[in-house]
Amino acid sequence: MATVAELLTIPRLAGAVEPLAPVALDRRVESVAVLEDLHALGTPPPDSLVIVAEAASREAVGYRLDVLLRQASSREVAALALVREPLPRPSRTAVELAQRGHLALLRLSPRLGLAEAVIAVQQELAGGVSRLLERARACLDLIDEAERLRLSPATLVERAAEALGAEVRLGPPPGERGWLSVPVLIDGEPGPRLSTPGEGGDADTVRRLLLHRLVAAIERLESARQRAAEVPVQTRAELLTELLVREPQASRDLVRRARQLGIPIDGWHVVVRLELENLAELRPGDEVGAFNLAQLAVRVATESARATGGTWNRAGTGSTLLLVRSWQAEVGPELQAEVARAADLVIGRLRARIPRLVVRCGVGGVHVGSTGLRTSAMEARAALTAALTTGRRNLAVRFDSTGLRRVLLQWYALDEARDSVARLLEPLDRLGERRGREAIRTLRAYLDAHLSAGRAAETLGLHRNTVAYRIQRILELLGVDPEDPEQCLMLQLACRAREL
Amino acid sequence: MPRGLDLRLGIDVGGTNTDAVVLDPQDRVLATCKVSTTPDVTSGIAAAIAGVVGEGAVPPRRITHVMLGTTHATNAILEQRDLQRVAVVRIGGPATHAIPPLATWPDHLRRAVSAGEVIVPGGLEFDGRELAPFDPGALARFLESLEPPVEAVAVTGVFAPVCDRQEREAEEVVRRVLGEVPVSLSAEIGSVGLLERENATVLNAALTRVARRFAEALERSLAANGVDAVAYFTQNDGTLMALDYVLSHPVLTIGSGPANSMRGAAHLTGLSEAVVADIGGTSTDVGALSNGFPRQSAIPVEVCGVRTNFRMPDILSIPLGGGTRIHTGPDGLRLGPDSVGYRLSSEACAFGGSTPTLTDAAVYVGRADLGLHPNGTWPRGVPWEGAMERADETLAEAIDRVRESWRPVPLVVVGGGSIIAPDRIPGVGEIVRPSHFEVANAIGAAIAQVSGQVERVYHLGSRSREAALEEVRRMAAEEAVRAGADPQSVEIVDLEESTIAYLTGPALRIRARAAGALGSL
Amino acid sequence: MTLGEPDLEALARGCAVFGGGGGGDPTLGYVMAREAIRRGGPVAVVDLDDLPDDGLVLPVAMVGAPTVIEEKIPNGSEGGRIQAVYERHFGRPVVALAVAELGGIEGMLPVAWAAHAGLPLADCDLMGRAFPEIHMCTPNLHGLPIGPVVVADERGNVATFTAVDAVWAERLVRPTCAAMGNCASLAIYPMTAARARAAVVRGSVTRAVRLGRLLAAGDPLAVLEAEVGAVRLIEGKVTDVERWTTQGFARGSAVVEGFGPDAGRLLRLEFQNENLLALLDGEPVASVPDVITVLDHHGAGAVVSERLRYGQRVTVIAFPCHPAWRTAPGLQLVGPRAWGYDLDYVPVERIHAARA
Repeated sequence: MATVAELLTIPRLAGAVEPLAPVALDRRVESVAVLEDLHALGTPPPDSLVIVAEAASREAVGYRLDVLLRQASSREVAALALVREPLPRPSRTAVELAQRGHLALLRLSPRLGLAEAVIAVQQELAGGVSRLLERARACLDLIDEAERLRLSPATLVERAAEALGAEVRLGPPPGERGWLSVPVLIDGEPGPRLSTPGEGGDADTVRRLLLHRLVAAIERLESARQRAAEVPVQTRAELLTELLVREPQASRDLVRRARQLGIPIDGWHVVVRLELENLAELRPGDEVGAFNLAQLAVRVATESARATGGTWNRAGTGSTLLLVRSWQAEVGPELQAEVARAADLVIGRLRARIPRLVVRCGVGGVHVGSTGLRTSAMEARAALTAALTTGRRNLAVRFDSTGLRRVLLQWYALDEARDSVARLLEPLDRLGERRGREAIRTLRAYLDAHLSAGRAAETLGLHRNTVAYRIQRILELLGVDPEDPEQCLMLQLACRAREL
Repeated sequence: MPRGLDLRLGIDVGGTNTDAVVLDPQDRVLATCKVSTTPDVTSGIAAAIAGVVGEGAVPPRRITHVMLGTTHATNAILEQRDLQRVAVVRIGGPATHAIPPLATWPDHLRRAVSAGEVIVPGGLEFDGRELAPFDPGALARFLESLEPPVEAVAVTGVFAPVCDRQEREAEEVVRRVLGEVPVSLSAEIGSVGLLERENATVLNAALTRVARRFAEALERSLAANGVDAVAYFTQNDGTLMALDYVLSHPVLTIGSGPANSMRGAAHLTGLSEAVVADIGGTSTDVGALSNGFPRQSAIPVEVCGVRTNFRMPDILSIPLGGGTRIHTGPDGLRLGPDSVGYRLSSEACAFGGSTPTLTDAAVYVGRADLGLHPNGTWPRGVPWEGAMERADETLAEAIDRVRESWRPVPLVVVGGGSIIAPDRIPGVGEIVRPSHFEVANAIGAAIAQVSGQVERVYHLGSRSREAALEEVRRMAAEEAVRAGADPQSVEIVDLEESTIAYLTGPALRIRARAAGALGSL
Repeated sequence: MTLGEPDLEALARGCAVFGGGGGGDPTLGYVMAREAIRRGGPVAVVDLDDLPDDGLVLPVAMVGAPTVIEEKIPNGSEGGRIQAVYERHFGRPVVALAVAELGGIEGMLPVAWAAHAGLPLADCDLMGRAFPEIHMCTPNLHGLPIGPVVVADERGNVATFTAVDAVWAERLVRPTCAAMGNCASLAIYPMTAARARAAVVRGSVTRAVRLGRLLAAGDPLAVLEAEVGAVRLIEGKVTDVERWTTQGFARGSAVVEGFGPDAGRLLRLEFQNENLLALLDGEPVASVPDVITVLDHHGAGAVVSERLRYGQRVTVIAFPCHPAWRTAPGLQLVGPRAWGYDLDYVPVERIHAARA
């Protein structure tokens, strides 16, 4: 005995039988019969599934189907299966009659032999070990096919449950009594458990064997999935790394490839720069150990960053690691703080996994496009430098005005810094004190506005064209390429240092 | 003077009220006004115009377009006022003699309209072949025999919707014999169905003077209020006709009121598939929106006792409104059909009167809050809940009769009496009550598009169905442009095809309607 | 009796009920009959017994597409012209015209032609209801020849066929009708009054008028039960209408969902112009040749199948057909299997008794 819904899961019928309407799927079926002639329904045993042979099924449309349904429900038929190619929706009257008779209306594909369908249903209805063995066979077939079909572990479990016609769970140990359960090892450590209800006896031996086969398959699939996930990450990381170190002129091709790889290069970015200060010291003399540790750090950092949500990509190698948080839609500068919080979390995870690790971390500002990406990376580096100079460890330091001011003061206190700023701004100084000051103010506003003349004009209370004209002139005098983030950062630092 | 689109003035002249609204180019409502319809109609229009331009927010000079919906034509037929004497010409002999022209008309109307009737040899078969050659001599002799004055001529040819060539030839003959009289050709008025099309064509011819006078009166009312704008009339499919078009197709204004309400409802809610209930004081019009336009009736419609088949919105009117009286008597509860109508604000219980109405029932059951609550002065023993329940059932049944399938549809409730509508109706999805619901009809007029409709019968021998469909689509679009639509924005809004069954190979009847935004004139 | 203008409305209403969903919208036929009576005076309706034995009785009808008939209205004199053809052919006078098909427009047209030709109308018809094809007539069961068949148009074209049987007549008439513009006038089964007495459905016209009058005056269901033995199949709302065309015929199916005492029931109605089969909750409750008619609650008139639409409140009734159709040859011609329904015919009153 089985419900119609259970019959729909019989492995040999998979894909060849479907309900024509969501009606009476909970109806219990006791036996199976075949109807060759629409007029010869006779008296089938109660609660039977009546399979209407192909020729008769072709006739069972319109009013004839109504009549058949009517007769079937008066004879307590549990389900009618029509052997047809996909049908248009059954008529309103047919569905209504099925509903009233609490009778399931199914379609059976003509590709499946009538005899095979009958035997499959009969075996299912007979129950016991023979039913289980039949289903176990389907389950083993499924396991053999799992890798080729690229099933995820979750799908495999779902399909296995279907094939078995029983509940199969992947998760915490089952609370119910009498369940069979086998642990799954992830990264060599015990993870969730695979469980299914048992009934005792020989059947449970079959079930236990199946669970073990399934667990082995899940482990294989899981490790394959991790490897597969790592490949594009690797490629992306390399690409991003290159993008961040290359000269801007040479990067056009890289930008295109980044787009192809799905890195949202044209969006808004914040770069987090992490330096793992004492990685080598943690495994003195053990190069392989140090390398493995670095790999682990990279993985932990990337995964824990992703766990905070949003789009993250990583770049960099060895002891320097860059994490890039990106958005497709425009975001405000305030999101830098959010990224910094995420970075703190990442540092926490890293240190939990690798005790005694020392991390320095700088977080850049929010910038747009490929140029913006580089700018944010530069800022992250500057913030990291600030972290170094101020002795802040294991803490994300933001590239922001207050932090910068301190860094700037320290930096500008150095003679070399003063010299280089003076050298850089000399062409403007030559304009005379008032015009020079005005030029630096304009330039700073322009750089702060991420190279937007319009927004700079708003800040300065000038006409946009005036600002654009001045900037063109200033950049000519300075001989600086505004597309180069390194030069831009230097200029920005210089402008700010002058104002201290 | 040609001007771009700025403010639009929509006016709807109903049986009880004349409503006016002014919309800005973004379709926002700037001003509304509701006045009583006057017996002469025109002074009511003038008052409504004065009401909206007088509000200050609307400088009359900024109004660039005026759209008017009116029941004027219907009233003229009902009262047999200003109708022209029409020579009724049918081209179809030797067929059709079994039923002569105007055979189904009420006698008094026939006497008021007909200057004489004739069936001359001619007409076509359904596939465009000649039924018989058209006989211009017979037509000329008939026209010469008529006693003057002959003020208009209506020409109806058998199967003219397939091809109007014989009707055009007849028009030439009329011009030669009678000179410049208005001539209405059936192919421009209605679809297949000889008697109904002929009736509509004769009504059209009879109404040409009414249309001209009304148009002139409208222009005077506008000028008196300092409005210098292009004027349009709305027609019964919810779209616009330019003034010169309405002069030759006045019959198409019949039924434009409900059509305007429905278009207004579509506009105010943004729904394009819905049932609309326009609940007034005395009656409720229920119709279906399909593709944002009123669905058209598939069966003949009677206009003042005359069966016609020109396109009309498929409207079900039920005697149920805010002013409908609640009767209790020995045979139990009865609603209407009488109504206190415009006297609601003095006679209904909620307003201190003593006549129980559905508005009172709505107040009693808490559906409406007019600031006036049931008190000791209300009559005792009135089954308010029962009356409301009965009203809900009647409305629900009307809605059910109008919708086309059993799938739930949203319902839009508009009109002054809409407070009596319930919040839930079986089979209805969502019930929407848009803002400005009380002037939905005038808004419908103001937002109306310009349309064109063509119906043709094809005998699918030499050409494919696709080619026939394409030709009808193109003709409908051209018709819309002729009526004043901007060619860039014209699109097909309705396409209907039906096979003519029986006997021979496939013959196809195709009806297409195109609509587009107002062209800049 | 005499058919005058006041009787026409009753006749139209009665014909619509007997038409069983077919026969077309009677309005046009009504107006034609009225115009003809206004011009030619009332039409005498005579019993076959009162006609001379050897007098010719001529059943007449219209064939063609309803859409075309509504546009290309007949001339009115077709009956007279057909009469002349037969009188020449048989060399004796036509003493009466007769209704071939009792339904919609077809029941009214012979009245118009009779008034025009100044002939009486025999009180009979060939079906006792409406059917879509010209061989589905009771004289066919009695072995009477269908021909000579005369087809005429409004121009004066007349075609005469001597067909070997009724099916051939149908085959020949259709293309001729198409050539004439898809609608034409037709006369079939010309017979002497003596022959007709046993071979046709008698008293049809007076029965239809009487039914129409009673329907206008009283409770329609009670009237129909008393007059024609009608049983009520369902009272409800049309919730689904589907139509398709096969071999030139408009076929379809409609679903009526019961309300009131029938709440929870579904009636499926199958039609080909005429209503052919009614199934209540999947069980056949009436079928051809019994007459199945849909009555509209608003107006209480019968609804022709092409006017069935969603939302109509209706009562569906069925009543026994003429006994000739219940014989073995009758059922072979127009029983359920003749329309492709794989069902045995059970008389409607017997089904109803079993259900009660």
